[in-house]
Amino acid sequence: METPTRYDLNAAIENWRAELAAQPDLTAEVRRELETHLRDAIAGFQQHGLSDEESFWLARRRVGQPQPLAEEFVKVDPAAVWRERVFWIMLGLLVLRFWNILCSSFLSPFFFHASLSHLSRFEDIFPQWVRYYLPDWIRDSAYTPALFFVIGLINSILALLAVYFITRGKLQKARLAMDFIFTNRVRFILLTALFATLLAMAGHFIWNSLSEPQLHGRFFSVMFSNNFLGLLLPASIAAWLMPTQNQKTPKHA
Amino acid sequence: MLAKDMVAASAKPLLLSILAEGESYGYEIIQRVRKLSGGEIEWSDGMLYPVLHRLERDGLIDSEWKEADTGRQRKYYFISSAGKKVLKTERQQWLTVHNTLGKLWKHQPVTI
Repeated sequence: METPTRYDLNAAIENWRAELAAQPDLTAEVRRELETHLRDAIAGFQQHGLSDEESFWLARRRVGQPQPLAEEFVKVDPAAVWRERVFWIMLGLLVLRFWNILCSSFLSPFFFHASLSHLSRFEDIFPQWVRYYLPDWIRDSAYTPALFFVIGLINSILALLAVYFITRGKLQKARLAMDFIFTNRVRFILLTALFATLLAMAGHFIWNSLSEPQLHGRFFSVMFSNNFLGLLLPASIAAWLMPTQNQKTPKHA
Repeated sequence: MLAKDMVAASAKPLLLSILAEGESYGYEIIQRVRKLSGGEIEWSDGMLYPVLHRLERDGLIDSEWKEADTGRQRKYYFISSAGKKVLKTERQQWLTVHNTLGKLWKHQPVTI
């Protein structure tokens, strides 16, 4: 007499999970949620005395076919999958930027001293009227380039920390402010234009107040583009794109 | 069995009403609706989640992954303050329909 082979429920769930994963429109969180539901449904049927195989097939039928499901989710939030992808791109850019600044901070004394050795003091990068207010330790610092990049390094650490805290559900006011900016395309364009105008005006004002505009202007343009826009934009977008509840999503539902 | 249009139209007030009683998760919500309606309202299990996600996106409900009694993680939904306000409006609207039909069909009106 043949012994009946035992139904492998875990393998069946694994196959079903692979079918869901083949749908690019279902995000990882949605797939986890559906799997939780499937497991709950299986447990419910098992409690009614059904076998593993019967419970799985009934639960699977109840949850529905992956493709129509994915189509329904796309209707609700067409950009959900892209948001997740852009989040990882932005986070990647931010980490690369951090790494770049980290390396530059170590290399900058050699690099800058070779090309801009005449800028010997940190206060040289500030306009005359600002220098007056600088504390002595900055004014007398002989490591201009190094300090310049250390500021960049601190900025990037702050940007990464901000992303971390916002995505963990902290800094609610910052998150609400970003929701306000990013949830409306027109608002985003207008605010970006306003921000760029203010930066240009500030740059123009600083440029005019410099004793050696060409030389100092280069520093300010680098400071704005590298340490501010280069960090702030990916940091803000990454923090906004990752919904708070996603951070609470476990690895295995 | 309730018509498809009616099932779709009643999904929002039903979900908000269930979550107004306390936090819940997808499977439990489906079971509750099935029990309350005596099996008349039959939701497709998988199709519940797009509706829940839409309500969450509209700010009417919130969600959080938590560990259930079984030790497994589950996504629990709960109603937001905006959701409570919308539920109040929905309730008034549905009662208006109910009372109007009730009068036509000689039933006793229901008040809030």
